[in-house]
Amino acid sequence: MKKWGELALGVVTSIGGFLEVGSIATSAQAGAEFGYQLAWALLLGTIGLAVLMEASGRLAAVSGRTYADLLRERFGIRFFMLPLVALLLVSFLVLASEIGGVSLALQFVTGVNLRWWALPVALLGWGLLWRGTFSAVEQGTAGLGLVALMFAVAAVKMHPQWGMLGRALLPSIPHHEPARYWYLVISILGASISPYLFVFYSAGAIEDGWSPEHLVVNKVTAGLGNLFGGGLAIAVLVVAALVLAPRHIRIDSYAQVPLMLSQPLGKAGVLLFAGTLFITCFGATVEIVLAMAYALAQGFGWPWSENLRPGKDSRFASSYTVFLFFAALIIVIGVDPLALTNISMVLTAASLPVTVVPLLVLMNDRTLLRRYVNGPFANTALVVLALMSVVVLVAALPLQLTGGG
Amino acid sequence: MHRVRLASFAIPLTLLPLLLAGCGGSSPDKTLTSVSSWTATVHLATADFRRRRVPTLYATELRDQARSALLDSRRTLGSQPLAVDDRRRATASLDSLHAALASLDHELDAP
Repeated sequence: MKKWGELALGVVTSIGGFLEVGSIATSAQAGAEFGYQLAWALLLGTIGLAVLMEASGRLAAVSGRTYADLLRERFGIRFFMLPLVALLLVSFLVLASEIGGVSLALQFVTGVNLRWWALPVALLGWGLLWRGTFSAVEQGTAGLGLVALMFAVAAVKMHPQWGMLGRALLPSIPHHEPARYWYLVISILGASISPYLFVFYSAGAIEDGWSPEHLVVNKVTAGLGNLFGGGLAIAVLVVAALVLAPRHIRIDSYAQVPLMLSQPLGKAGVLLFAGTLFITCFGATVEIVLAMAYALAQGFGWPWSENLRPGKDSRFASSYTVFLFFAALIIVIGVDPLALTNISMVLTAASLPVTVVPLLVLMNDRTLLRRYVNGPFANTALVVLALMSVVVLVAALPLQLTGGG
Repeated sequence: MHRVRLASFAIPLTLLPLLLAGCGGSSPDKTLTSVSSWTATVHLATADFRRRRVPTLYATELRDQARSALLDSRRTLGSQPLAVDDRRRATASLDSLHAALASLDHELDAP
């Protein structure tokens, strides 16, 4: 019975966890500019994230160690600095975007400029981390994240052309603006496959005391949870494709996004959007800053656990405090959240090689994983992801220069 | 020693192109596309507000953002050398956003 509870919680957490400021923005931009055509990129990102989460969860459950911890031990501190710096830099930008997302949600319902909300939002997140436990963080954001299901309701109410949507799940060549099309593909992949997600997931497995007995829970959480989460991102794309694309409305500001919900959901659509943005971005804020503090503490061998009192793991607690404060300052000084999101999603995608390739090596280490090492299917999936991440890294700059961004 | 040098170069070398990727200019075509997108946004917001599909606070927020986009675009297009036809097209596009905003203003101010 306890396992079923863990399973349900894991799936619900993944549903809410998948959607955040980056996936909402990139899916809406993709739908508004290319209709259903980029649905395949969302599917690819969903599968990619599921593969990486399953691998990092299996690694933690079997070895009893986290990804960051093993990365430092097996590759040495000098190599470890590369993924650590990349992870911290891109996650810091994504963290600022998420704080911007929560602040925007508050701006939509109060009319008070988002810059005034950034520090209170960071303080709220910090309070939850300082006073709460890992379960409180996980469960508090999981159930509320289900409000994001309103995107699915909105998509169905718009009567999408299912056949056309099904065909869009296969990659296709763009009919116009190829640079912009491929740039959005990279942004979508960055929004879906964020390294912080599997660093957080692997640390969460240790916080929850996972063992090899949890491998089924791990598989279902990573697979089903991300499938539902990815489905919601596709729902965002569908609504944008049906409401914004025919009117030639592109997303130049977050303020334009809630407008797409006024058609299927009326006045409630804007309020539900604000609620979804608040909850999903707040959940992501807490998860990202924890992932950053986890990576730092695990990499340098400091005591760490969200279940410990801050006095017992002071460097871990100080890390998330500092990260939250400075990320909030980025919004306070007036950086546009949408521009920040777009840049951070591309940078996230481009940083993937330094986190994905080492994971492939660790997942084939029999001294760590015994009989649970990667099979041919998991290895093929990780190799494809690693190659894809290298292509993304190489393509990001030329696409920006040729007018994609 | 060699490995230290490699690491100290690898990090900035990896990040430099990525940071550069974030810096993009704004061409006249891009600005005009944005202006017509904002015009369509304001038209939709006006129609939705009339049918009570969006709250007043949100419609006001959208109007303010659109106005800010209009000012930015006017400044961007004004500072760029454009051919006569392009200048005429830009003026028409900016005027049409201005008119759409006036219409939303009217709806918002209506009792």
